[in-house]
Amino acid sequence: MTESSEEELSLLETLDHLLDRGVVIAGEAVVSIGDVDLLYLGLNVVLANVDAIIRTSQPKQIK
Amino acid sequence: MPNIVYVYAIARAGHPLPERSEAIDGSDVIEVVTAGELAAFVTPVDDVDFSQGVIDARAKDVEWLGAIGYRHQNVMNALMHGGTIIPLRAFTLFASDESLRRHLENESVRFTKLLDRLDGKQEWTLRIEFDPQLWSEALVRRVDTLRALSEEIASASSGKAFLLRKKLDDEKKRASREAEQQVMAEIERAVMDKLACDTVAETRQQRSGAFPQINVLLERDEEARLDELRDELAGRYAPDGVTLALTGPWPPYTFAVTTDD
Repeated sequence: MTESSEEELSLLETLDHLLDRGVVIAGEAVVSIGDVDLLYLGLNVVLANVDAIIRTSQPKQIK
Repeated sequence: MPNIVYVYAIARAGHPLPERSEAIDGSDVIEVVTAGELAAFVTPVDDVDFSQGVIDARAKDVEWLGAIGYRHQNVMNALMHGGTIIPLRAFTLFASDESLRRHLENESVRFTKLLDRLDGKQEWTLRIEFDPQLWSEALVRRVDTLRALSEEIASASSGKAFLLRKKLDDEKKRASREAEQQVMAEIERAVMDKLACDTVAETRQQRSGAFPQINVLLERDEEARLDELRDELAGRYAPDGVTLALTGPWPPYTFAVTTDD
């Protein structure tokens, strides 16, 4: 993998983490980078209810 | 003109402001809104620039989104240097400082508990990737009905083989979904058994078709053990075309939940 595609991959990983999922879907892009063609990026943007922080996933803790 | 607030993170009051970080709008304005024992880090932004319509329209502009991602992440990294934070995802906005302050006051017990829980921990992500060809072959080996169909095709006439191949494809899709979830559950269990930590698994369906992943909340000094486990699991699943990509440490977005624990 080239240096620039590594940087792009790292940016996609970052976006994948910091964009929320599962609340309001604003758009979706399928991204293909070099030989990494199966990393999809779902872009979900939360905005409408600005006074609420919505979280959908629940953590599990081992008992 | 800035009239709403973009919120990066919540921390304990007294948490230091990030130094020399570019704000989300390209300015250098990062402010703190304090309420009792809590503080939130914000940048005032324009409600037109950050309206749903504008964001929707620009969501596929990777350059713009990249700049947002880069700035958000840099502020987050700088804040994390100053201690524990509750990181918020990109595009968390409040109507005003006042409404944010009210939210901090109303949720102060939850946020304080959450900060205690995140102290000294980091988030890591284990993405489970499937090689289409090897995984497809592995499915035939793993699932009896697929193996039987495959053998039937080998000895069938060309017309019948065509129909059977269609059936095999459909069966493979169903079996693939089930087997993926099984692999994911096995890996999550292995992580919990070895590290006794919190995890959140996200299936391919939850990730809009992207590879499934397991988010792990680990003590700072335990990443070597997770890496060791990744190597061990990678060896176990490699013949099935399953690889494990470990990334991190991330701000603990997945675990920044505000539910009653």
